[in-house]
Amino acid sequence: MKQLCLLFLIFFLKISAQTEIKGIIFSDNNSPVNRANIILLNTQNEIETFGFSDKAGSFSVSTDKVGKFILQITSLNFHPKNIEINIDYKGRKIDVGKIGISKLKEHEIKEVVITRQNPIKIKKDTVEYTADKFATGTEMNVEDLLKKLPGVKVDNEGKIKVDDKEVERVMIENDDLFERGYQTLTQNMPSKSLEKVQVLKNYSKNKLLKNIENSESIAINLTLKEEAKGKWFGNILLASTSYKENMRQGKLNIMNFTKRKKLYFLYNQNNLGLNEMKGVEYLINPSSDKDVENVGGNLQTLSIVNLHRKNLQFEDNRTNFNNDKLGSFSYIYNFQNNWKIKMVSIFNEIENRNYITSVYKYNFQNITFTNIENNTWKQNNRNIVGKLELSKDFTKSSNLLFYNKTSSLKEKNDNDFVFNDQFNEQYGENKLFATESKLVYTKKIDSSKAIVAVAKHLFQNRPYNFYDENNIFQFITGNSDVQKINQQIHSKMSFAGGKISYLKKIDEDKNLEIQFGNEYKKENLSSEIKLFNLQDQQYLFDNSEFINSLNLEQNKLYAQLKYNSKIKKWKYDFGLLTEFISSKNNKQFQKGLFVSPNFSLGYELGRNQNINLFGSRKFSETRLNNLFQNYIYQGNRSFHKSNLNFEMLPDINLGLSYNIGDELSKSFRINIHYLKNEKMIANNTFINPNYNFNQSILVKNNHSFFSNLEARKYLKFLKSRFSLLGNIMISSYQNSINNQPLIKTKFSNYKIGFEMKSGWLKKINYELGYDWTFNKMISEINMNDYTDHKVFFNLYYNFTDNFRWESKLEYYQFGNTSQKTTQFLDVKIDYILKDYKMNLFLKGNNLLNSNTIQRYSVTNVSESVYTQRLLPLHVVFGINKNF
Amino acid sequence: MRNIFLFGLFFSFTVLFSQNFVFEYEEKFYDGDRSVINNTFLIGNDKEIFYFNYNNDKLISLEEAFENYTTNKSPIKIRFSLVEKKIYDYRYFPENFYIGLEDLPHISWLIGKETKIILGYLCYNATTTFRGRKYMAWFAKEIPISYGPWKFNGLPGLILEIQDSENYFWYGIKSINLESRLQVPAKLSSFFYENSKNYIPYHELFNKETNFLLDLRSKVRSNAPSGTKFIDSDIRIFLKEKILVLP
Repeated sequence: MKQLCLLFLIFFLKISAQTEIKGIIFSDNNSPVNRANIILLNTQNEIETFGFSDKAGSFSVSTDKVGKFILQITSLNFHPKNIEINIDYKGRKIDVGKIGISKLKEHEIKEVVITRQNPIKIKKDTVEYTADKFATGTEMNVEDLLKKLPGVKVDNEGKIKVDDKEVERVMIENDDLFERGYQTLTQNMPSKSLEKVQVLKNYSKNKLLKNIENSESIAINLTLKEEAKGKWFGNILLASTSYKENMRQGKLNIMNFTKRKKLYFLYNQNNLGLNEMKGVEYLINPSSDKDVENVGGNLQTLSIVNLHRKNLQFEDNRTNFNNDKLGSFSYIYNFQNNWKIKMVSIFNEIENRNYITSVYKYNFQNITFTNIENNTWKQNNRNIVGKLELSKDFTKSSNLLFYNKTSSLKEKNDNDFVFNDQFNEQYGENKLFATESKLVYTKKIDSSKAIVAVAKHLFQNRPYNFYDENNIFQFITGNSDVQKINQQIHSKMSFAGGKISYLKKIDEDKNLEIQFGNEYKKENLSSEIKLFNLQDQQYLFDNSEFINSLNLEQNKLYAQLKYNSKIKKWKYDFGLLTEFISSKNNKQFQKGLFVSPNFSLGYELGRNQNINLFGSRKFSETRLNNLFQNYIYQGNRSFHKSNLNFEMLPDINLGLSYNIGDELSKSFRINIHYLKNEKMIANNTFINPNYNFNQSILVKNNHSFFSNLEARKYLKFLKSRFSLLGNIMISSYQNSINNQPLIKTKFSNYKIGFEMKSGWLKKINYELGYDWTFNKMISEINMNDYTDHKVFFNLYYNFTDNFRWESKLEYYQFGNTSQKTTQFLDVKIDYILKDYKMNLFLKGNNLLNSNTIQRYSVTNVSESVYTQRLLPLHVVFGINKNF
Repeated sequence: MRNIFLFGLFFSFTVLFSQNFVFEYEEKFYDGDRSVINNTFLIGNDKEIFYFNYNNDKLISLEEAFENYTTNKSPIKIRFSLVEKKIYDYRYFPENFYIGLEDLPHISWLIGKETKIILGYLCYNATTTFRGRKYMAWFAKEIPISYGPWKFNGLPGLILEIQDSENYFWYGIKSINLESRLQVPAKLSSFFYENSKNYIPYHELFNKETNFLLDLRSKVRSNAPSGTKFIDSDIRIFLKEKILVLP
């Protein structure tokens, strides 16, 4: 009570220390002026205080200052009036009485419009976020921060989407360290060093082509806080199971960025089944190069034989018995004279093991047999990749880029096969050396035109050498001493190509591109099989059917035209590729002119309703792996050769897509795709219980049909999204057995299912799905069908912002297997220690300890059941710390 | 000659009876998806004022543009009734639209010492906190209109520029016309009179808006790919009014 009195007293004293100035404002016709502005100005013309007159025209303003003042009275359409006031002591009450203000005369009222251009302009394609405004302190890395930005989504694998479009690259201070492998950066860079996040729409990697090429790409640029520049930061992750299971993971990321210089070092190691190569795969298999800046589209490294079988049916972390080590170093330096240097090097060592037991039942024309195999595939890889890139901006209108990428791969295979209780071993070594150089020159002619010239050279050398210990050649040669096979294969490729492109933006919605290019490719392949007895003595036999020497030269001269345009609700895209191809396959010459048109036509039927039609006819060429005329042993009791000559294989593609509705509330979309292969490579197989011989043959007119549809609806009462999913795949293929007439087979696969996902804003959320897949195969000689089921239920619970629970339950049932069902349960608990910039996690994988999973597959002459071994139950505890 | 006389008479008549002030602003804000620039107008007299946006894409004269004005191209529509001391604020939701009614908010300003010249007017700076955001304004005491863009009011002069401390919102004057023959677009003023059935108290509108955004957030989350992690931010982070304290 006492305090309250004191407060009142102070309040009163304060009030009483103020000088009050009051008065009443009238206009010419003696009526009070409402809402006139009363401003008290000091001698420096600063505003001391202000007020407004009320309906009666009276006003009152107060000040605690003393001195000379001007009371300024203004009102709309009135002449302003200034009254001098002198306050000689505090607490005075000054009544200025009635003040008359006079209306502006009509002739003084002039319609004067004053205008200006505003200083703030939005950069058209850039949205900028200030990192601190979105950060709440719980973010461990850049990815966590990006998730908070509106319209930005990050999926499980770290791929970032902005407005449902995938982000192409994430740069730091306008330098791109990781290209498509940007997860490395976003998942490991602490977010606290960020100043701004810029989302760049219609992004062109080559800045001279910005607004000239038709780009819908999105990129993100991160800028650093001044104090973070030049500082070392990064993170470290350590995780391990108990001593018994002996499974571990370690990750170290160290980085240092300035405007001029960027440095990034990372080291990853694990034997938890995680594929560490994902983050650097972009460097080994690049595909992100924009069309105009690339030449030679079909240059993937061919695999002549594959001595390792990876399991593709299931996720790596279930089946990949591994031990991976990966180190990478990236460096960028921007010189003052507009040169830029970029270096990336990767070193890795990978060990993969895959355990499969399979039962293979053959049944054709009264020949039946069953083979039981028990295979352990083990591969050790050692990759070294180095890339050096130099670029220079000459003027504002031209730039040059050069890079060289050299890689060396060494692959060692050590497989153990048990074939019908008989033990076989396989050792193989496979090396790949590749070097690639590219030069790109861009010249911007004016704001709507540019020329890009590109030249590329590529060389690849790939020797294989492997031993197989088995009895196949005892059957083939009739000599029971033959126990070992040695095969040496050598393949080489050289490529040189050049292309010049002219790009023109005709107007805002029309783009034209014309390209001319020439590509030359030379490939060699040689192979030879030698046989040995157990004492490693060579057994000589007529190996003419098992020796290859192939030279393939090909030159492609081409011109390409691309045009796209948008007119009101229509969207057109046309392309025309004309190629003159000459080839020399061992001594056979061939040449021909091939024309490949394509189109795409879109129409906006209404708001949220689009239809799109597309089609193309194109040619693909037979490559080396389909041209060797004598058998190459593929390992695993199978031989392959080709009965083909160099061929161009035409196909026709037609597609239709339609969507309606608002994605968030209710939507429906359907895609239909039809493919006709006028010519296609198929197989003629000579089957024998102990081995088989495959021959590539040419078949005509194969058809495939794919369709998928999705109907989505947001169920308000459940605050959940429900999706109905459908998938149809029908394809026909032809093959031949023992050189007999072609067998036509139709394979169909119908998948139907649903998915639900909650959007609850509370602590708990779920995801649920079920799908059925109906598989059916009908051929002229047999038929078979089976159904697969898959169910998943994921539950997320956030105890607090720092403490999260995540559990995933999966259930599988594969048709035609003796295994009824397989279940998986994985749990992850994550706890963030904000103050220590670290998080602790506990991951329990395969908690139900499912050991194996079985799958069934079928062809027109066989059925197989595979049993795949799975990583057993393991619980990992880990720490992730930023520094 | 007579025609000119008549015209002159007509002219002076309109000047006499329907003079409005018209201020054109540029309103830049971040709507949570992209930065938006709206061309807005503050038009009115001592009885009523309208604040609305209208993007004049065709670059025709303002007179023509105002004549062609349609309400559905103008999501920002605010009417100030100076007589009632009330604000009528329009808001669109997919299922319906509403006009929220509130008392003219009292904004306490702190006037600073800095000045700068905008469009030839000496402007004083003033700061305030209004509905969850801190603002700094520049106002011209020579223009004795105590309003500005959006709902800002209470300064002894027109606000020519104002922005929030987080830089989400920026309003700047583009043109000043103290005495204009331009009229409030008829469709705009009638819109407020004809839709009295859609009047609701402003705090109800505010809650509707919050709930709409929460629902939208649920929709976005439920439509995201499996396993997507979300981190919460303030639901009204991109709205002009972050909070509303009932008087």
